Amino acid sequence: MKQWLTRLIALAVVLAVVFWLWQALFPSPEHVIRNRVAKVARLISFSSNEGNLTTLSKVSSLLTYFSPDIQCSIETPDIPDAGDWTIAGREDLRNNVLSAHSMVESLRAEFIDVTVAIAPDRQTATAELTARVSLPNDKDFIVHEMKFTLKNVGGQWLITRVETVKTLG
Amino acid sequence: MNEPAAANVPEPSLLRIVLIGRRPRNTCVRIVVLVVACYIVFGFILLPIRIEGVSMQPTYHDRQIDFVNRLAYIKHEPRRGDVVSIMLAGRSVMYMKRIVGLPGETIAFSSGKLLVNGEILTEPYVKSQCDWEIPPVTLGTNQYYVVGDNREMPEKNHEKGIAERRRIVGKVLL
Repeated sequence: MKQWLTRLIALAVVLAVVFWLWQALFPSPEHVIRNRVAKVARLISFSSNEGNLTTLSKVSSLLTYFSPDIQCSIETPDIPDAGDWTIAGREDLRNNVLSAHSMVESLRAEFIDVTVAIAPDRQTATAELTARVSLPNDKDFIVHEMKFTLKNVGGQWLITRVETVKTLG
Repeated sequence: MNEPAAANVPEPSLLRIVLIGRRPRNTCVRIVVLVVACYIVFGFILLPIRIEGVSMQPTYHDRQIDFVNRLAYIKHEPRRGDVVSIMLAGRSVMYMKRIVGLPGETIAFSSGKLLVNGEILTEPYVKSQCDWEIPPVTLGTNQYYVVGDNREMPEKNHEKGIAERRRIVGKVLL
């Protein structure tokens, strides 16, 4: 009985390790997209003591996650004087990100509750998520529901469209 | 026959009794049952929340802890005056608002007064005056109008509007 139980536990451990290895070596598109979205959030975030070189490096790295024809349509009605942002293309995105760096001291972005849906053709996908942004000197954080549209370009999932979703109509 | 042997078993120390009880096996079973019960209750039925922001003041304050009862709308649909949590993309971050308009009703704000089907709604939970002006909006099926209790805030900075029924997670408990 004891030997049988030991074998069962050993089998379960082996299966868990094989499953983990399989996930690590051959990640599903959903897993890849989740990782990329989390990486985008980390690259958008910046602290007050960040140097110029680090900023430029992070922004350059950030742009590689977006397609050259990226379209962003971001409505921020709850941020006074922020207006709506419409971004077309990587260069426009770079300028907007750099201007955000000059406008605020620091920023912390998180993308949570990410739901990934892969299209039947396996070439496009959407990621619906909640963006939570914290700004310095502001005890409240800004939350927005967002939708990212992604396209598989040469094996890489690039963000082609970013838009805000109106939770309350 | 066994009595002398039982009498020789030393009494466990007080520290051991306090930490794991007289019968460790029973204590383990109790801990497992408690963990499973907490997981089910607080993971699926009563969702713990921490309120952030001022839009529900003075009824609810910033940093207050509360729970969302997900079983509240099993027997009946949401009612006017209920404080509910509304999910965004998921349940990690939710809006907390009060239902003021039910499906099929027309909602508007005129000189800061909330109008439901053209009549002023008495709102005892609102303690401040406002000057909000919002044109009439008619709710469809499965749509509710939600707004916070803090009407001192500028209308533009206050999240409010139509919430689909599928987004209402549950009723705030306390």
